[in-house]
Amino acid sequence: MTSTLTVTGLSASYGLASALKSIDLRVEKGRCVGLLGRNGAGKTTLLKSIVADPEITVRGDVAIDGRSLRKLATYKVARLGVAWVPDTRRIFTRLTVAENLDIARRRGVASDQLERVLEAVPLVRGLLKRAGYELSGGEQQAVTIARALMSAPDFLLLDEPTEGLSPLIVEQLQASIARLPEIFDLGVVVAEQNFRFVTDLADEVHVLETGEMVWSGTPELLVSDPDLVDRHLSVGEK
Amino acid sequence: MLGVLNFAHGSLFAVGALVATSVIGTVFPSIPVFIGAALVGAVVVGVLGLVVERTVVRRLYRGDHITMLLATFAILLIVEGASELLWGDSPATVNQPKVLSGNVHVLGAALPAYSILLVVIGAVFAVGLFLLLNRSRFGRDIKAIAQDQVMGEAVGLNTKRVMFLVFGLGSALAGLAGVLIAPTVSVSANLGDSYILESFAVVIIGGLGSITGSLISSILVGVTEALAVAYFPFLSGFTFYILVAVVLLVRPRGLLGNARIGAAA
Ligand SMILES: Nc1ncnc2c1ncn2[C@@H]1O[C@H](COP(=O)(O)OP(=O)(O)O)[C@@H](O)[C@H]1O
Ligand SMILES: [Mg+2]
Repeated sequence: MTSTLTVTGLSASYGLASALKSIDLRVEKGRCVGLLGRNGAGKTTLLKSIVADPEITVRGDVAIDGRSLRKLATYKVARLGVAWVPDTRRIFTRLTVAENLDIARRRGVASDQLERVLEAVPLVRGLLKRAGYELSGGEQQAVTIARALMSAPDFLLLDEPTEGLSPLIVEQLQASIARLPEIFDLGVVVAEQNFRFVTDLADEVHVLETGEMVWSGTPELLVSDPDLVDRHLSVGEK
Repeated sequence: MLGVLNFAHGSLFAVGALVATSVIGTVFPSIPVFIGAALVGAVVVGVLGLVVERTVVRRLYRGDHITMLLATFAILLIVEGASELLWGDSPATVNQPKVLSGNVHVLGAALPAYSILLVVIGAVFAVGLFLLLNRSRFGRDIKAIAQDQVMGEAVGLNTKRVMFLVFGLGSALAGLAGVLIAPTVSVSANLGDSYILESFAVVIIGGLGSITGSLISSILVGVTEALAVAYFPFLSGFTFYILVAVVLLVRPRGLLGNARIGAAA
């Protein structure tokens, strides 16, 4: 039984440009961990480091229950139970929505997974026959999350899921994501600039600033400390 | 399709034809022998392609197109050189099966039966590739990887394996084509050279990455060349240069080159 994803002393760089310094993170199944930080703080880089995006050079370690993912190819990390919803969604535009989902279902995943995913992300049900390039932003976001869930992952990494979505859609999205840890027994990491979204969803929040983890604690603590919010998170993130 | 502009296919094509000279020899082959030669050519060249992918091409997917072109050009030279050592440098001929050497009358015109067979086989393979790409899991994976390799990996696809197999399949088809073309040409190690420019013209006019574009463009190139031969003989052999220039001036991406991806991104 996999239960914990751990990031230890992780530093990451794009070529020579350093983007993250000695990050520690721990995500348990069934829990939701929030990553907050300004644009450029390193949220995307952290998620990409976990999924072993080849663009990034990392030092330190990423492991699931003590098994290191560091030297593994991206697809192996995926097969070990890490699913990723990147910030630009990256739908396969030349495939249908149904194919976008099916492509992520690995051998060994129960055949009723599609039905479970469609129940959790109902918007997708009506889109199955559509082509990937025909979707609106909110539809894309729902499909990308559904695609990630199709592999029955143990850990789900969401990169700015609210970006570019209308407030109403954001509300629906929040409700969907809130139920995921329990329905699918998975750990969620959600990187956001949307302060409310994260503090509402997460059991635990980490604040990143210029590649360093500058604060960790409960959302209640963060919400009750306006100074902290002012210092580390830019204006307009209320 | 996977961002590989490949010169090496020219020499792989020639190896297919050379394999045909070895399998068939100087006799008129029976149909089974000819089919056997086609299979041997496809397998030998397919395996050769897999070796080329694993040793050279695989290292270059992340590089730019120019590096890939130069490297595959180097492979072309190496394979041609090796073929010359193996098969000698004097041109050989291969006979087509006797039953196919006559003419067939189509709408009053006498056409060589073998040419018609080539057209039919070409069409069958075009349909087959279309189905592979659009109706199979393998094709689905190829399309996903062609668009976004890292995202393909992130949903669990072993993209290196898929690209390896695609390269092998492409090479096997080049080998098969080499065997099929062998009876119509004088076979030598540099047989591919004259075809490679034409196929490049076809791919560039059609638009990189678009198979439909390539199909349309191959018809366009063929018909233009045929018209030129008939009405402006002095232009024969030049038409595809002219076509490439004109198409690229009007549509730098080629007829159908990745327009849809660009529009959706
Ligand atoms: N592809 C890249 N190449 C070089 N530097 C990058 C690249 N992507 C991001 N960075 C840099 O890494 C740092 C962290 O960026 P990112 O992880 O995208 O932040 P966030 O997701 O929090 O907005 C920034 O300084 C950014 O400029
Ligand atoms: Mg980001």
